[in-house]
Amino acid sequence: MTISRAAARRSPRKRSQVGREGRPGTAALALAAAFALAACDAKRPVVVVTEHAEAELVAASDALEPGRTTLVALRLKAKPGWHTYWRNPGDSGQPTSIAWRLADGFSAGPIRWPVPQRMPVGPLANYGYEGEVLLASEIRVPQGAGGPATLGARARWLACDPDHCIPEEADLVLALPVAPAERGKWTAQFKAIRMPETAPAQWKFSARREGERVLLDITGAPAQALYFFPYDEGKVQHAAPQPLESTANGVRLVIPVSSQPVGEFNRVRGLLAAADRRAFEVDVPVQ
Amino acid sequence: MHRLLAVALFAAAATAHAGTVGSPAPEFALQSVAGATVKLSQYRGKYVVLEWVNPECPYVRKHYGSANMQKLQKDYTGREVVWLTINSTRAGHPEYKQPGEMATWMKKMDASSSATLLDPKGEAGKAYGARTTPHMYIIDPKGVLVYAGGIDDKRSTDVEDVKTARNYVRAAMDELLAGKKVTNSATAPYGCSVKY
Repeated sequence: MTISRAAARRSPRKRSQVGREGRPGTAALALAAAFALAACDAKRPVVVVTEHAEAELVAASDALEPGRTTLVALRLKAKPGWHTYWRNPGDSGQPTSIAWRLADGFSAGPIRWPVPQRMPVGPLANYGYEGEVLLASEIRVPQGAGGPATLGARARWLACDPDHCIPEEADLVLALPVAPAERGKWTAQFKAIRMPETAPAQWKFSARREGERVLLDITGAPAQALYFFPYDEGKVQHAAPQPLESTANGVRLVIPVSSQPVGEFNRVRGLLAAADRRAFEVDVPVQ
Repeated sequence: MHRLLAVALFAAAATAHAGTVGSPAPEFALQSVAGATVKLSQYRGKYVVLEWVNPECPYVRKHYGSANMQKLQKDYTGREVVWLTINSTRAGHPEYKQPGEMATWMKKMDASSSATLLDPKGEAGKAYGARTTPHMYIIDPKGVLVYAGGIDDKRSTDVEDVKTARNYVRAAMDELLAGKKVTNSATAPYGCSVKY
C-alpha cells in the first residue's frame, strides 16, 4: 500500500466510531451516537477505530470524586506491525498528543509516559510502543462538581510500520458519574502500566564526557544490561549500542553522543531501562 | 565485555563525523533523475542546500502541499544557491521511485531544485546521518557543513502550521547570505524515517 496525502488526510474521516459491540456507522452519525451513548450510559466506553489503531478514554476508577484527582488514559492500540511514539520519538516520528476538553474547574496534567520500547529501523532507531499503551494523565475534579461529567479529548498520533507512516487523530469522550470512587473496570490495567521508578537509593550516579561518548557511572548497581532512553532529542545516537562495563564497585554505561548534537549534552536526563523490565528515572549532570 | 566495547568504539569512530556541523561536508556522486552524475564538489564556491525527500511521507507532503518547500527552493536558487533534493529510499522499498517517477513528481510539484538525486543505496544519506524526510543541510562555499536539522520548529503534518512555524533553513540562509554566522546551526529534524 502506498500512502498518499489524500489517504493520510482521509483516514480520520474514514474511521468509524463504534461502541463495545462494534456497531458501525457513518462518522457524523456515529459521533452523535457516541455522545448520546456516553450521556445515557456513563460506563459504556466509546472506541474510535482508525485505519491503523483504535483509541478510547479509560479511567482508573469508576467515578470522579469532587476535590480529588483520578487517572484517565488514552488507550491507544496500534494494529499488529504498527507502532506509536514516546515523548522522544528517537530518529524520526512524532509523540502522541492529547488536547483535553474539560468542563470549567476540571484540569488535566501532562501525559505520564510509560517506559517505551526501542525499535531499530535499519541504521536508525525509534522509541515508542507496539500494540497497546495507556497514556495516563491526572484529572483534577473541582470541589463543586456534580455529575455525570463528560471528559473530552482530541488525541493525535503518528502510526508507523517499518515502511509507512500515517498521521491519525480521534475525538474521544468519556462520561463518568461524580461520586465516591471505587475500583473500575480498568483499575488493574492502570496498575500494570510499566512506569519509570525512582532508582534504588544505594545507586550513586556520576557522568562525564569523554570524546564522543558520555560515561555514566553507577556505583552500587549490579551488572545487568541497561539502556538509557534520553528525554531530549539530539543528545545520543539512538541506534548505537550502549556498552556496559564492570567497574570496581558498580557499572559504567557508555553512551555514544549524537554526531548532530542539538544543544549541550549537559545532563543525562531520561530513563534507565533494565533487562528485568524495570526502568528508573535519572537526571545526572555531565561533568 | 571489552571486546564488545572495542567494536562499539570502532563503529562510533566511523560515524563520528557523519554530517557534523563545522566539519567538511562528505563528498558524494549521485545520479540525477535527468541521468547526470552530480558531485557535491562541482559546486565548490557556492552555498549548497541538501533536502532529503520522500514523496510518500506525510511530512514531506505538508511542505510540498503548502508550497513551502518550493518557495524556499525558488527564493534561494534565485540567489545563486544550489539546491539538491535527494531521495535515499532504497530500491525495492514500496515507496521507492524510479528516476522518471521522481522527475514527474517534482515537476508536478513545480519544484525549483537545481537537481533531484537518487541515492537508492543510502550512501549519501548515511554519510550525512540523514534520519528523516525532510532533513535539511547547508554547505558553505568552502565545503564545510554549516547547518543540519529540521526545516522548521513545528513538528506536525498540518499544512496550517507552516504559516506560524519558524523556518530554520530560511533563517540560516538569510544569515549566511548577509555574511553572518548561523545562529541555530543544529536543530532537531522531524518527519518519517529515511527508508534505507
